[in-house]
Amino acid sequence: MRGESLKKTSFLTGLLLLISFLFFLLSSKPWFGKFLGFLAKPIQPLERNLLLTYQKSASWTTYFSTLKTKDQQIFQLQGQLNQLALQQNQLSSCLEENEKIKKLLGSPLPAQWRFVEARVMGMTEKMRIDKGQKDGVKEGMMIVSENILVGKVIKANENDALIQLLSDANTKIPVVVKKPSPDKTKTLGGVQARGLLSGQGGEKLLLDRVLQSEDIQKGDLVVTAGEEGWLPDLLVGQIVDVAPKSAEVYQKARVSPLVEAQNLRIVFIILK
Amino acid sequence: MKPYLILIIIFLFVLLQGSFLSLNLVLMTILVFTAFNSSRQSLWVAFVSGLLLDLAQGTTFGLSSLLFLVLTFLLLLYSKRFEPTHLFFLPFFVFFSAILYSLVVWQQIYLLSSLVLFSLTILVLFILKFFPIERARGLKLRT
Repeated sequence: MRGESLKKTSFLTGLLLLISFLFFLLSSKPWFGKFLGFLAKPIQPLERNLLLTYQKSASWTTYFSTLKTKDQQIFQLQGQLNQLALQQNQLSSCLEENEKIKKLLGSPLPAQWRFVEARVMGMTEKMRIDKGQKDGVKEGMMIVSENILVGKVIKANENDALIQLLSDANTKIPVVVKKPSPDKTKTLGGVQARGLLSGQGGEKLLLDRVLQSEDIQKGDLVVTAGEEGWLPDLLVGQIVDVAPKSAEVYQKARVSPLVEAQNLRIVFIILK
Repeated sequence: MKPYLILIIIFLFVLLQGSFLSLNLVLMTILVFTAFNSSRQSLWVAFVSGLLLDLAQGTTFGLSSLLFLVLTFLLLLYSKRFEPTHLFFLPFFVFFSAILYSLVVWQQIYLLSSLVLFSLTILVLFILKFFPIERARGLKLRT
């Protein structure tokens, strides 16, 4: 190894590391954020179009691969089941829902909640939307699709924001379990159980910390409890599988999200 | 291979990673390029790619660049004494680098995508063995 060459390489590495670190520190400054937003602007439409193309091709692939198979029927039934659960909840809380829809449409309402529409730009490890600090988006804000929780803002840049999805292993949401009412015109049943919902990195979510004495069943709806910074009464998912009772203090259940984040194109940010 | 050509490829991967692809192809490309082109150009490629990726992904600006530079430097150090394109080294280096990257940037380990990158690196190595590219030896250290 020649010492001189190593010195030059080390010097260049050090210099570039220093510049990167400087950028890293500056990225928290608002004026630098605006500059980065300006730089990222030409890339964003390209990414958005790429994602749309991907979503379209993915949906066609799914369609052809499941055509005339039982998988397709199961897929459709699951979709219908999720849809029914959604409709049931919507019907049961009609007044509240009307108010929310008005808010979604941007009507001036005295209520605290205000919604801003955002388009999905990227869907990789995290979701990325085309609204950022300049639109009033801040870290910790909830992202919904209709009244279903999609995730939470974990980083707000000037023109875009990163969303931590429910499936993310870092997601932990205090939730309550409610029975869907057999009478669709009535509100949801009372709180059946309380628990902690966590992402598993896959499609399903894990409901944990539910006391053995509490009654949870397949088909029950999981709704945010409104604790630890999460807004209340947002639909999260539906219980698909309850683990058999054991000697443990808590019982567990698998929860299926009511919305497929991968296929979303438009979401709403709750500005509070 | 010329650095600007590799930057064009990386830019395409940056767009894919910014929109829907969960595989860290940019990282893999930088490391494979460094392994086959053990010169200081690799450091510049790593630096620019990191900044581009941060812009496209919306992650903290400079973070990917920092990581890419450290990993590239480690690979350059390794390449001064050993063969970096060895089948028992590069795929493993890419695998652990991808895990480190996901842990630092996303605070989560994406094992499956790291394994896919591992396999892809093996495939790329095989392809490059069958269709060898001219290896630049900018540092000319192995005299």
